[in-house]
Order: sequence, then structure tokens, then C-alpha cells
Amino acid sequence: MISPRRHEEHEVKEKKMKKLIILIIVLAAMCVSVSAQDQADQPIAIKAKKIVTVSGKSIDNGVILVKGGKIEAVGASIAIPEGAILHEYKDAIVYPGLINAFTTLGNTGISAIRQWNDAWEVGLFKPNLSAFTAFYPWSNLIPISREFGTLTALTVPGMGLIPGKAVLFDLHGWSPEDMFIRKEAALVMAVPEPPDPPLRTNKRYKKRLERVKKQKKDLWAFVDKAHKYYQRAKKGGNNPFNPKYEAMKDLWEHQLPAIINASSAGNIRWAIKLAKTFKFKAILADVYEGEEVLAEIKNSGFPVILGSMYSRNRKWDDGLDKVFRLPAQLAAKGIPFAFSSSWGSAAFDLPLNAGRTVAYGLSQEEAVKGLTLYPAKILGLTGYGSIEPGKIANLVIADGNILETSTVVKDVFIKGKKVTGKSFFRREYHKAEAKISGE
Amino acid sequence: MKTIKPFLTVMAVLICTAFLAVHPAAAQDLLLKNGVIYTFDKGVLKGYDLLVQDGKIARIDKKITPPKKIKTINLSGKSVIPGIIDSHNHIGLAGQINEYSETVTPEILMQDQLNPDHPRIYTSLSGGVTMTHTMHGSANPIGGENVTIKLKWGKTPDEMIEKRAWRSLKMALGENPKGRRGTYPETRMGVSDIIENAYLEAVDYREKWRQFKKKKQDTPETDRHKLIPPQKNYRLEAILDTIDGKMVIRCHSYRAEETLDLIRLSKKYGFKIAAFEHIHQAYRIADELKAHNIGISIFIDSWNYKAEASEFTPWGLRLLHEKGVTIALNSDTSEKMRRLYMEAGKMRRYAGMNDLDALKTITLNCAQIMGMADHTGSIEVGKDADLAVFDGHPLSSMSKCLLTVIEGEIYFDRAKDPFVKVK
Repeated sequence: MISPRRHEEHEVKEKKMKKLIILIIVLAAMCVSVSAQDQADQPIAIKAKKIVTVSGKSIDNGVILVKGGKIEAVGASIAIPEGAILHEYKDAIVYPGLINAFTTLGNTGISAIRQWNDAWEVGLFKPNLSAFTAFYPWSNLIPISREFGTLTALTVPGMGLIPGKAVLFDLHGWSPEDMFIRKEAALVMAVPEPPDPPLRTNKRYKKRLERVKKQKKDLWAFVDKAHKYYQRAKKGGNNPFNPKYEAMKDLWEHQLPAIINASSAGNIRWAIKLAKTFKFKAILADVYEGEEVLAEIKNSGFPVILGSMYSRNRKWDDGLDKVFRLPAQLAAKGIPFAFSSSWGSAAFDLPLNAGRTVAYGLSQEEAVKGLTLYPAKILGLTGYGSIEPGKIANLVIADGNILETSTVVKDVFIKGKKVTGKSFFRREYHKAEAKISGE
Repeated sequence: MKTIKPFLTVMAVLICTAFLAVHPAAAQDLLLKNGVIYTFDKGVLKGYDLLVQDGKIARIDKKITPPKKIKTINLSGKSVIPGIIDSHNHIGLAGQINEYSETVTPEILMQDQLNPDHPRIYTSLSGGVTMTHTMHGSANPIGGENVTIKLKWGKTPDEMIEKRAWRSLKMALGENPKGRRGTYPETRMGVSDIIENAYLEAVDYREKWRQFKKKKQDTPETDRHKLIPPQKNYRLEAILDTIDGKMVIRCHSYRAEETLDLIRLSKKYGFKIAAFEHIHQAYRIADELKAHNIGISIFIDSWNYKAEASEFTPWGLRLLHEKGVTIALNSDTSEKMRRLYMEAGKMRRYAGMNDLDALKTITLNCAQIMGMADHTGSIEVGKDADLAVFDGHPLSSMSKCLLTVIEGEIYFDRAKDPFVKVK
């Protein structure tokens, strides 16, 4: 039994203790919140055997300073500020994050399973469809592409003459919005190719030829009508609503580029004519017969997105090296080009697509540019593609030449943060190594 | 009459010249000078010469003087590797790769439809490939007999077929043989049953013939013509060949459990599995594959094209290599076949292999699972002169094949080839 007076004293003591505890908690909380704030701004220093800046000369034993997700400085003798977290990679080469300029990452999964394909909608003219609406950020293919150095990609819809609009994103984040750089980064078009002539011309071949001719006419007419729709909208007055033409307005209203897939020389010329006639910005894609129209491509001022370098020549007379000798020819003419690795499941092999072309005349520097600076420029990514002050800190730390078959990527940084999540490939290895059932 | 004799002489000379132009004297002697020779027994030999005589590797030495005037090529330090072997492909066929009208068709022979003019053969030669195992497809639980061919472009099928290789029978498990006919088999259980049933019938067939032969012996000679033998069955005799060690099995599988099930059947009925094809989940059963001495013939990292290919990791190749499983890389298509050297290069990053072990995955290991290791697959004196010359490191993405030689004859020469523009 405590006496009333003692009880009063006890109460006062308790109140004082409570106040002290509250004060300690508040002070601790303040410390934590202050350090969290600091961490976001905390400078990071990356030291490596070689830094491939792409925009300039490579730097031996260089340092990159990163702050607030951006590159602050890069050079051979840079003072590392106090409090900076140092990542040292004694035997590694640092590259800017690679950019896959044309893929289906996030929109497709297992190829044979129809339910897992959200890139190929029915219909010919679909400018109103956008890949970002069906973008699946938790696809196990995304960390895999990242694991081999691809840090940014353009995912495109397919099928038809105007499949829809493509989404540009960084390969790290939880929800779709975390990853998007630009929800509608380009409109995709495809000029239909005539079928290969059979040994003897038959009715079926003639029918297919007719259909292709008609589709080309329809594509031209569609763009024409969409352009007129836009002009009427600008003038004001009577303009009945059309959702497809409405979606096309971005080509003129916001200079949204149109990526036009064209394979044959004739179709490449046709695509250039289409873009020039209706005055929209174009990027030529595939350009299988680009060799024959190099001058026209150069004069058009349009850049090129290449298809997969793991492709065969389509005609015997094209020569066995038809596909992979093209990049060197584009580089010689000064035509900017970007590599791509189209299907999501194969997208991670992007760097070796570029490597292969070095055997056929492209310099290693140009090959690396085709994976970094050129796609950045082509897709309007001003903050990407090279290691320079002011650019986004998307960095790939490789244990060797990124174009080579033996190279392993040790670490990647996206927007200045080291990515620690393990890919499906890595997790499967560890499970099998330890024979763990489950995770 | 007076004019006929000189006319005939001229015609004879013209015909002989034309004949010689089309069929030049067999160039099976060759001297390659000053190359970087990749051998597995003596390592990488820099600045060495390689002498080929009668289609075989005769000598590897520094500064060889050829015994007589033979074709000499100065490699100027370029790399020479054994001719690349693709142990799983379907090139050089005139028609379908699957006899999918039935589920068990071991009696058919892929060599019956060899098309020596198939352009894919030439495509593969340009990548340094000298030999392929052209296989039946994977639509049947038990398919047909495969054929091994050397890619001797311009020769007849008989000249291309490699008779020294093991006879091999294609089997297939998983999604390809099941659920495609709208009838049996729909499940992996059905696939397993169809394979086992073929062996049960073959064993029964053998027993019936054994009984007949005994009955024949017990019957007086004069009455033997009255006996009716069992019906001859080529299909079941092909199955019996696999039990009698005359033909090995090469089985397409993806998942670990279907693979283990076939191993169980192989022990039960006594047939030998030389290798599993594709087997994306091999990394889960490295111990079992090693214990039963079964190799794998795989893609390096193509995956996720169907459900059974969706559980995979190329890093798993390290586990297989550490356990000592024989790994052979294949392409299944000519586009990949011509860049098998790039695929092998990736072995260095996935499995931590050194250059020579990585090279074995497209040469010696392939020869081993095809029963050709004594004849080709490595640069050794006495072996077939099957060689490929590269302009850079032979496992690099940035190199290309310059010369492809099969048994001493040059079948692809980039410098002179009209079908490649970059020399």
C-alpha cells in the first residue's frame, strides 16, 4: 500500500519519465527521418578500371560521382566527397545503361501461350491502342534483360498496319508508373511486304499480291484522312469525332515520331514518301534492304531502328551476311541507328546482337553507340545514353567488353540506385544448387 | 571419214576438260601454315603448321615442309579449331521432319529424304560447321532413325552420310508429342505408356520368334515348310536394335521428371540413352545425368517459347559442368548453327568454363554423343581433317569463319565466296 503522498510523488515521477521517453522517441525519429532524407541526396562514387563515356574518350581508373539520381561528375582524378558511398570495381568496365529500341518486354510472356500475348491485337488500324495500358511490370523477363545490361527499353504493339503506340521505360520499379519514362513515346506503323514469288505464279500468290497492294493504298489513305482531320480540328468547325484519327493527331500536334517498319527498298522509299508528304517525324525500322537505299535514307534525315541481328538473308542472292553487314554501311553514311532484340524472351541478348556486327565492318565504338547514345537520341531521351555530368545515372558495371560473349554484368544502377533484386535466372540457379523445394 | 577422227578427238578433249572442271581432282592434301591451333591435348599452339594428307590430320608442328607440292595456305596467325559439329538439327531434308501420322515410327530413316542441295547446308558451312546430326522431329514419342552427315556441299547423299557414327533413334517427351492429334496421347502418362508399350511388344515379338525357331528345330526337316513363321515387323526390329546395343536413343525432353521417367524405362528394358535434347531443366538433375552417363544436347540460352521451357536458368550450366555432365550445344536451325561459336563463347560466362572446355561443347562433346569421337571433333594426328579457320578469337561474337575444311577439302572460303559480301 502506498500512501497518498507517496502516490502523488510517484505520479509526478511517472509523468516526468513519460515526458522523457516521449522526448527520446521524438529525437530518435528526427534522426531517422533526417538520415532518410540524406540518403536520397547522399552522393555515390563509383570507381572502376575503365569508364566508357560513349560521348567522349574512355577513362582509365576513373570515378563517377552520382547525386540525386544524376551524374554529377566523371573523370580520372575526382575528389570523392566526404560521406559519399564508395562502390569500387577494380576489374570492371562501366557503360551507360543499354537501350533496347524495339521489344515486347512487359507485354508478352511465354511465346506459345496466346493468353500471354498482349502485344498483338486484331485489326489493321489501331493508333488508339497503347502498349502502356497492358504493361506488366512484374514480368520475370524484365529483371533478366536488366541482368545483362539493358536498363531502358521501348515496348511496341504489333500486327496490322498501325499496331498502336509504344511505351518507353526504365527496367526497374514496382508499379507501372514507377517505370514509365514516356507512356506514348512513338506510333508504330508497318508497310506490308509482298510475299516471296513461288516457283510458278499461282492464283494464291496473285491474290496475296493484290491484298498487299490494297493494304498499302489503304494505309496511305488512312494517314491522309487523319491529316485532314487534324487540319480541320485546328481550323475549328465541323469535324465529326473519330477516335482513330483523334489518336493520330499527336503526329502533328506533338511531333510524336512514327516508327515505320519497312523491309524492301521499295517500301523504305514509300515510307519516306509517306512521312514527307504528310509532314510527320519518322524513324525507319527493320530496313532489311537498306543497303540499296542508303542515299535516300540519309537525305530523308530519318534514323533507323534495326531488327534482330540473329536473322537469315531472305533471298539467296542477298548474300549470307545481308542482315549484319548493314550497320557498318549505315555508320559509314552517318545514319544514326539503334539495335533491338525484339521478342521479350530473347531481349536479354541485345549486347551480342551488336557484337556480331563488329565482325562485319562496324567499329566497336559505333556498336556501343548503337546500344546507348544513338537510341537515346533517336527516341528523344536527352538524359540518357552516355556518362556525362547532368545525365541520368543509369550505369552498367561489366567484368569485360559488353559486346563479348564471355562478359558478366556485375551490377547495375538505375537512376543512381544500385539494383539489388535478383532475376529469375539467378534465383533458379540458387534453388538448384542447394536443392531447395520452394523459395 | 577424214574429218570425223579429229572431231572425235576434239570432243573427247572438251568432254574430259568439262568433266575435270566440274569434278576437280580430290584436294585432300592441305598445308595450313602459321596458325593458332586449338588442340585439347596440347593446348593452344601459336605459330604452328597443320599438315593434312589423304583427308586426315598428318602432322602438327612448327615449320613443316610439305612432302610434295600441295595446296598451302598461310594463315598469318589466324585461329584453327576443329570443325564445328551440330548434334541436333533438321537441315538437308527434302520434306517433312515428322512422320506424325503414327506415334511410334522407328522403322523410318531420315537418310531416305536427304537433300544435298538444301541451301541451309551452305549457310551452316559459312559458320564453320562440318558435321550435323540431322534428326527426326519431336511430334512422335518414338520417331525415326536419325542420320549423321558431313556437310560436303556438292557431293551426293551417299558421300555425305557418315557411316561411322552411332545409329540413333529419336524419341520425344512432353508438349510436342502430346495433345497434337486430338487423340492419344494427351498427357505425359500417355507418352510414357506408348514408349513402354513399344518395348513390351518388341520383347514379345522376340519371344515369338525364339519359340518359332525352337519349334523349327524340333520339327523334322521334311515338315519344316509347313510351319508358319511370325510376321516380320521392321518397326519392332528397330526397337530391338536399341536393346541389342545397335542403336542409341537421342530423346527430346524439357522437364526433369519426364527425363527421369525415360531413364527408368531405359534401365528396365536395357536401351542406352546417349543424350537428352534441349532438356531445359537439366540443371535440376545433374547428379542423375552423370550417374547414368547421359549427355545433353542443348541451346545455350533460348527459352520461354513454350510452357515447358519456362523454368530454366543458363547459370545452371555451371552445376552441370561441375558435375562432369557432357554438354553439347546445338542450334536446331541453320541461323543459330552458323553462330554456334558465339553460343559456345557464352559457356565462359554461364558455366565459368575456360576457352578449351567451351570449344569442346561445339566439337568433341558433340562427337562423343554421336559416337564419332575417335574420328573427328578435335585436332589430333590421325583424325579426319575437319577444320574451321576464324579471323579472330574463335569464341568471340566479333569474329567470323573464313575457311571450312572437311576431310582436307575446302568447302567454304570466304575470300572467294560469291555469297558473302564482307570478306
